[in-house]
Amino acid sequence: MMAATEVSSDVQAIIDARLDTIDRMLLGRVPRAERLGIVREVEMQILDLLAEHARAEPTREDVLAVLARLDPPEAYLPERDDAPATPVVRRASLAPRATGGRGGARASAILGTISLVLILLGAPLGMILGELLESEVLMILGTVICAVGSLATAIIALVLAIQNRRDGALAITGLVTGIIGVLLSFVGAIACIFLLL
Amino acid sequence: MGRWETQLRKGVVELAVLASIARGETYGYKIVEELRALRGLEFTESTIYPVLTRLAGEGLLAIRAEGSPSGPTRRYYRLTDEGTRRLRGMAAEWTHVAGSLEGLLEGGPR
Repeated sequence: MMAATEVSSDVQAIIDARLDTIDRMLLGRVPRAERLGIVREVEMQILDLLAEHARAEPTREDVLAVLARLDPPEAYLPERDDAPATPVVRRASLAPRATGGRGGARASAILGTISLVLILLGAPLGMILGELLESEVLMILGTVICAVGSLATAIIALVLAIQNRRDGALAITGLVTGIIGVLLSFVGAIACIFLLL
Repeated sequence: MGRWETQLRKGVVELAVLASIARGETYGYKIVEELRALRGLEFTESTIYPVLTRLAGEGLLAIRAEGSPSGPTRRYYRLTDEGTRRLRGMAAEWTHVAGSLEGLLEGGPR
């Protein structure tokens, strides 16, 4: 017959530390009810083992000796194929999106910059070439191609920047250049209309 | 222990836990002690307790809480009807697999 185990506060603190460590190992990997159940079973086992020592009030050394006989907390880490889906999904939602990630933010910044280059350099270059070659068609065609290209890349840059808004500076660059690109594309389109008229 | 032995033991732990509980209402540490005494089924608590709580969560085990001599409330497990059905199914499957393997290992004619 086992004696009831009276545990002092410092001994209880050692037990609690072990139980907390196991709890942390299981947190987010095992459903809450199961996690609490596992920790409760380990606590019962510790108390049973202490009671087997038949000492009314176990010492710190008794507890440490019992803990040394148990599996280490890392042994409770579930293997990947046993892990439940729900906590994993929750964690995944905090991580960068698999489809974009930092690559998406980088692409957004690059496309935004291309959009600006097209409308600020490409369109005037088309106009200058048209003037030099005295070709109105070349002038209009160059401006239209640059305006449409700039608008398309600016819109893609904006979408990517919004999708990857958590990725800091690159996403902000894509957002700002995308907005400016869209606005300037409209200016370019209006310029084309004036040229046509 | 080799990888094959580890995989084999991993596959039978649930069956072993259910079979242990089928012998009568029992608690976690007692299951660990009981299985530890059986050759090939020396599972430790970090293997048994997660399986135990999962099976209870799946409704295969019923829990009765009762104060223990060593301190806090102890949880006693017994098989539910669903747990008994699961155990029977697993035991039948195990018997088939073990029988087939035995036949192969005895090296009888094709």
